[in-house]
This record gives sequence, structure tokens and C-alpha cells, in this order.
Amino acid sequence: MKAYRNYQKFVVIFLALYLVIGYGFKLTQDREIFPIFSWSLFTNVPNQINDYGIRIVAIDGQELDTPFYYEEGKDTFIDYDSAQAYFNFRDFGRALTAGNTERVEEIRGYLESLYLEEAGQIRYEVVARSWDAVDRWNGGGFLTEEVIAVYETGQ
Amino acid sequence: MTKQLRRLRGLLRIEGWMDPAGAFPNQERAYTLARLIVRLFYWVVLFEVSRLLTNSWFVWQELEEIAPVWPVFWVNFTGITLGINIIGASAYITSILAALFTERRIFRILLAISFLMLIGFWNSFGKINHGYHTWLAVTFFFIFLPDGNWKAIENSVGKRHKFLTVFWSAQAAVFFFYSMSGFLKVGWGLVQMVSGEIGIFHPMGFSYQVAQSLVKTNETALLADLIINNPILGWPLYLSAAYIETFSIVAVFRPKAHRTWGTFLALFHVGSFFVMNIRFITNILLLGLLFVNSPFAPAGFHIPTILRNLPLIGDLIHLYNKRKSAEI
Repeated sequence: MKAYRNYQKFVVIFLALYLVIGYGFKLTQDREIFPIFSWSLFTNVPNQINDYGIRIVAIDGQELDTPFYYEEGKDTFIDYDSAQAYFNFRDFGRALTAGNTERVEEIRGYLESLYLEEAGQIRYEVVARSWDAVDRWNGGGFLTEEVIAVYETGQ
Repeated sequence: MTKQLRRLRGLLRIEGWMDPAGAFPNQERAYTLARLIVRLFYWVVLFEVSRLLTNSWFVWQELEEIAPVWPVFWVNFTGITLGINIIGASAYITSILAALFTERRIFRILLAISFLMLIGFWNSFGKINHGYHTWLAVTFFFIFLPDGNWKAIENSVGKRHKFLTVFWSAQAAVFFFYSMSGFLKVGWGLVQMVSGEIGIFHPMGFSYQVAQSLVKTNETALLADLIINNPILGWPLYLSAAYIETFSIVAVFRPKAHRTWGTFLALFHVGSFFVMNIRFITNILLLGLLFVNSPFAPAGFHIPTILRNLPLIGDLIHLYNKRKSAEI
């Protein structure tokens, strides 16, 4: 009976700790410690989105007449519609804006090999953008676009 | 603490609506069903491990760089190819053993560890996905199920009760996670409302949420355009989703609400796919196993009972009836 009572207490403490750690890391550092998660999914309704995009400007040394964002590259990249890619680009942009060189190099290492290099030698811009979601869904453009860095894969 | 736990349980379930025998109206039946569901769960884990590995094992072997989460940090030392071979082989072997010899705790422990590593590797590419977090929690809680011959404890009320308590704790963890998500939606929605922003409590809230989710990755979904451009259709769905998520933790204390709530949450995931192209399909399977087939849910389908046991709505009905009978 004692073991049973202890188990009940363990479950309550476990879930309480899970909540504290999950929410704590989300609220203080906006990150998670796998496999604990705040379960913050679609919590914020962004009235205006400020994000970062990867804009492709040259492939294998050939300048593109019309540079395009990674998510528009259906014919060039397998993962063009990947949410994982989008969030990695976001983290990359955030690290650049914060001037966190170590994090920039860390993310760049896997970002290029996971998403870009499959299409050849890519020159790309990291662009800070702002946009209205409903407006863009209905064909509108970005409110602002600012290039914050330019890189070439493997260099 | 035990007293406080009892008080909490009493507060969350609706006293007087339970069967006289308490939370386990037919304990023997519940035990038989729970045992079967646990066995099925481990077979489904084997299926999921196979699905993940057949899709990705060879692709993962070719990777040059990853961002390993802590359960697979050691891949930095072994190299990716050897690392994924170890993770893949151990996940396959332990999931087969756990599916075949579910009653042996050692195999459940080994499976929980290797499954954690497999899902850890799957999440070692920067952004973390959450499709298997609830599964990981269930594999963790099921470790505490009794070790040895489950048939032998069939005739012991106390041991059956312990088994069912562990089973219920896994259910509680799953619904608790949904509630955590709901608390944040409601809490942040209030903040946005007070700030005068468009949020969950604004009729345009869902339109903005759906549009931003799809535009970010240049995707579309079957019902997306309808919902984005007709906010009045989407808003009630958004509010309902927040209600269902938030009150999940209450529903877990009400066995008569398990089936309904499990179905609601599964439909919420189906709806998310049609509106936002979000594929949380692994959770649909888990909800079906643990809740739609909940061993604690009474047999039969009685709409008034279901309504009376719905969190918040059921409580309001209860209060109304109470007040009405007091007036008489």
C-alpha cells in the first residue's frame, strides 16, 4: 500500500516538475530540453510576423535573374516546405542579429548540409522580413525586407 | 499529501455521478482491457519504430553533420553512421522483445531507453518535432507496471488496482500535456486581448493563425482558404480546440468522459490536418488506444451521461440542476 501511495505522489511531482521545466525554459529562454516541452503550439497569434528567410541568389556560380526564397524553391529543394527548415532559418537569423558567432557557425554547419548543398554551390542571403499573414495568403508581399548576411555554401 | 491528492481528485470529478464502486466500476473488466491495451501499445511501438527506420535509416547513415540532443550526444564520438546503426538495431531488438514479452519489466525499460534515443536522433536536426513526446511519456510510465506474470495477479483486487493506477497515470500524462497547451493558449489569448491585439479571443484570430502557419512554409491545406477568408467559420473551431485542450486534465478524472474526450482530441488533429496541414497523426493512434478504448469508460453510449460528464459544460448542467431542485 505504501508503494502505491508513493507512486501516486511520484506521478503528481513528476507532472508538476515537467510543467515547471517546460514552461520555465519556454518563458525564460524560448527553448526546450528534449523530451520535455512546454506544449506551446500555436499559442501566439502573430498580428505582424517578423522572421528570417534564406534567399537564393546564385546556383553553381550562375547569378539568378529572379532570386527566390527557399520555401519558393519547389523545383530546387526537396525540403522546400519543411517547417523544420523554416525554424532552423529563424534560429540562424536570430543568432546573426544577436551577434552570436559561435551559434551562427554551429547552425550554418548543419543548415547548409541538410537543406542547401543538395542543389549545388549556393550563394544565399539571410533576410530579415516582416509581413501580414492574411495579406500574404491572398497574394500580398512583404512589408519590409533587409539583407543581414550573405554566404556561400561550403565557404 | 495523500489527503490533498484525494481532495484534488474529488474536486475534478463530479461526485455523485460516479458509480458507487468509485473510479473503477468494473475493476475486473477494466484490468482485462488495460492488459490488452498495454500489449497492443507495444506492438504499435514496434510498428512505429519500423516505420521510422524503414523510411530513414539509410538516409541517416549518409548524414555528415547533425545537432544531437542529449540522449544521443555520444554520436559525436562514434560518428553518425555507427551511431545510427546502434540506435536502429537496439530500437528494433528492444521493441520486438517488449512486444513479445510485455510482462517483463526489463524489456519495457530497455525499450523506453532505446525509443528515447531513436526519437532523440530523429530530433537532432535543429528544430524539435513533438509527434512522439506523448509516446515517450507512456513508455516511461508503463515501466512501473508490475513485473512478471500478469495472469497471476488477475485474482488480486489490490494488484489489479496498482496495475490500473499505473495505466491511469500514463493517461493522465497524455491529457496533462494537452492541458499545458490549452493553458498557454487561453493565458496568452487573454494577454493579447488586453493588449488590443488579434488573438484567440478575436474573430480574426484563427484566420491569422492558419495563414501564418501555411505561408511560412509555402504550403496549402484543403480547407485553408475557406477558413482564412471566412473568419466566422474558423473562430468557433479555434475556441473549441482551446476548450478541449485546456480541460483535458479534468476529463482524465472522469472515466465517463474518456471516450468522448479522446474522440474530440483525435478529431482536433484530423481538423488541424485539413485546415493547417499539420500532421500529428501519431497522437490519433495513441488517443484511440488509451482513451477511445479506455478500460475505465463504461460500456454503452448514453448521450445525457456523456454531456453531464463533459468538463465545464457538464459542471454547468450540474449546477443548473442543483439550483433548480433547490428551488423546488
